[in-house]
Amino acid sequence: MTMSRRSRVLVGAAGAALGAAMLAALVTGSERESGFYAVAEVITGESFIAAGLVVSARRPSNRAGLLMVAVGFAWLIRDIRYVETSWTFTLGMFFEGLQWLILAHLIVTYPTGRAQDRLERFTVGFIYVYAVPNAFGTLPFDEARDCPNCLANLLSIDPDPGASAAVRTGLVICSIIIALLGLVCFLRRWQRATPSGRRMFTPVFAGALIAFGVAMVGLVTVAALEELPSGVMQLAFLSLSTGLLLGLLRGWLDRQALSQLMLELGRASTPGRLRRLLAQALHDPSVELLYWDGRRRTYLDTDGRRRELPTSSAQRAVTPLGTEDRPVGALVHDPLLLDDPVLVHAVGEAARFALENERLQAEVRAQLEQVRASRARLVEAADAERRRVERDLHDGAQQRLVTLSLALGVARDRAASTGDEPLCSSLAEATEEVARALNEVRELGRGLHPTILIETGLGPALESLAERSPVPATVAVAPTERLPDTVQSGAYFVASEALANVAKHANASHVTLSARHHDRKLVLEIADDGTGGADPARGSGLTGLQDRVAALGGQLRIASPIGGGTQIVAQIPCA
Amino acid sequence: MLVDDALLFREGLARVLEDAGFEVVAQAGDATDLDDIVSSRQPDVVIVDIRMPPTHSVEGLEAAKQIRAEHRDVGVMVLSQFVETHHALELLSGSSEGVGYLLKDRVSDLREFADAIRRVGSGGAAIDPEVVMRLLGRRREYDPLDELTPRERDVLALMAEGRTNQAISERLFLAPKTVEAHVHRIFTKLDLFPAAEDHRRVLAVLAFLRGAAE
Repeated sequence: MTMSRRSRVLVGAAGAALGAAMLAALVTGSERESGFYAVAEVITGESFIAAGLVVSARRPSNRAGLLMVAVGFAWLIRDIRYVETSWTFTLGMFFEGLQWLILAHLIVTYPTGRAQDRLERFTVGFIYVYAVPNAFGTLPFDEARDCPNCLANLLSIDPDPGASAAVRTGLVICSIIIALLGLVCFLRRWQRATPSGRRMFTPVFAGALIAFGVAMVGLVTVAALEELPSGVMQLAFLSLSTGLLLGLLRGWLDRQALSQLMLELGRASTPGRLRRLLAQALHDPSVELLYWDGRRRTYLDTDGRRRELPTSSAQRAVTPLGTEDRPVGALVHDPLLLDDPVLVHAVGEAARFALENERLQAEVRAQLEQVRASRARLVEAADAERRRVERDLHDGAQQRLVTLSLALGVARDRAASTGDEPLCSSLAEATEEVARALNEVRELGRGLHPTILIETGLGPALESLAERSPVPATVAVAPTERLPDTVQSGAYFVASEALANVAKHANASHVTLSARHHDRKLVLEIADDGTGGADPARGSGLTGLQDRVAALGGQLRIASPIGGGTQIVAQIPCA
Repeated sequence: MLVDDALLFREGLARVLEDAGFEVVAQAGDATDLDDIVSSRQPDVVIVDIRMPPTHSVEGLEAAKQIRAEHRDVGVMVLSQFVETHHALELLSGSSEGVGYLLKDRVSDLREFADAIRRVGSGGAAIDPEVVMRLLGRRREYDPLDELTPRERDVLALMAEGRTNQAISERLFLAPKTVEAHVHRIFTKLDLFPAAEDHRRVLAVLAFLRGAAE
């Protein structure tokens, strides 16, 4: 049985109205009580109603909330005896003690509000069986009080003192039995509870024990002295309601832990750590986190082992993460946690986010790795192709042109020896033309793939670039060892393009190249003392450089403050 | 002796050289067994292409260095489609006796080429003008070469190419005495130790030119 929001509002309103009425009766009646007593009395009742409503709102399946509300109403209604008519007094007396019995029911079935086994069912049954003689039995045997102003107990049959004492003794014994049974049931529940369940008992312990003590002492002293110090009962009751509320809402307070969980999920680097965080947030060290492996269509535990999803039972409950057609994983946990579905749901969602996030990240990483690898392959392929073309050029056209110029030289010598001046000069012209063609092919080849790079490595190749730079260039440092081909040619082309940029735009008087190889990384730096203001976004060769370096898994940084020269730093990893 | 994997060029060059009065004692398509052939045929000069099978990189250069180390009396002329100052200096490292490093297309000027071979054969040096030009033409922020007169620069360039004072004086139509005076002034201005012998100074000049860039 659950309460709708509407009925909770109605019950709350009724409770408040009843409380107000009772306060009025307490303060205005002729049997006037002190203001402190009146307020303590009403607050005690209201606290149970309010706590019960909160519990049933937070934990709809939990019946303890309803019991708390009932305790509150029973507590308040008995104050009706202060309304000064005989029948209200009789009614008040009729309800007296009911609050204890419902409270006993609550304690016996704490924290679910439902009796679970035979002992509990027997105890609850005994409590309500006892309620009948408690309500109907006491009143007739109540001795008529001999005060003139006292309100009359309408049901009193004016018993003889012996009979009423016997009835009272019987009832006291019964209530002691109930107290003991309640204590046993409560302790049994506590003992059987899982660690996370036990957390709900701790706050109740203090309150419950105090209240039971007070109940027993109270019953005994009422029997003996007819009097109890003012407010003590209320205080005991109040502490108990607080304990119950705290215990039942412990999950609610765990929202703190939940927000902490959300904060830490981002840092949960390993599945094991994620599981620990979830266990912490749920206060259930036994929580298991299972991953759904979509490819093998099975669940895996945090160590990657295959796991069957257990069926929900009294021992373990399963909360699936994700939707039915797209599972992400599952939480296996203490079924007691289901008592607080909001918490389990929230933690489950958090876990789902984390898993989903992890999966997406892994996916993106894999895709990125693929793209990176394919980009590197493209660069490699392009490099290989350039080398091939350069070699074809070298072994083909260039070689033929050289042979041709040799033949032209021979022809010119012959023409010279026969004294044919015109032929001689046109052959000389042809030779020059071939020389120009050779020069062009040479430059073309160098642009495609500088042979010196494979011949001698990066250092001499940079030196060679510096030699041909129109802006005075110095190579400050260069690695002497050979680096992987793609790294070398990447660095070479960056330097080459950077030097060309310096010559074209920088208006510099000097440029320094340095290449350092350490920490499995090549750091190439080209710095000029020119006008600066180079902007890769404006689409110069710099963008191409960035692409090329990025393809090798490196980074290219360009610092070019206006008037402060340009500094290009390329970092290329050397695997 | 000729070593080049480009058969057509090699054959052509052999013919040209024979016409020019050289005797081609051996030809080879790669640098393997070069040591044995040099030992058995005792050429005065080995002309070797820098880039040959199997790796098409700097086999010729390696072969040249090996010959220089093991056959001190054999001159080595390295031909290349590209010239790199790095290679030139590596080839010259230690000594510039009997070393040549020329662009392959220099063969079109037969007389000049023949002259270079003779120079190398007689223990001199022949460095490609392109290498020298690159070193001389290299832009520097504080250039010691600015101290030199244009004529002194010409003389310096020819010295770097490995030419003798005699050859320089013929080229520049100067009296040998004048060339000597230029050389002396250059060495003084550049603060170089004056090397008396023509072929020894090549290395000093090239190293200076390269070093001045640093």
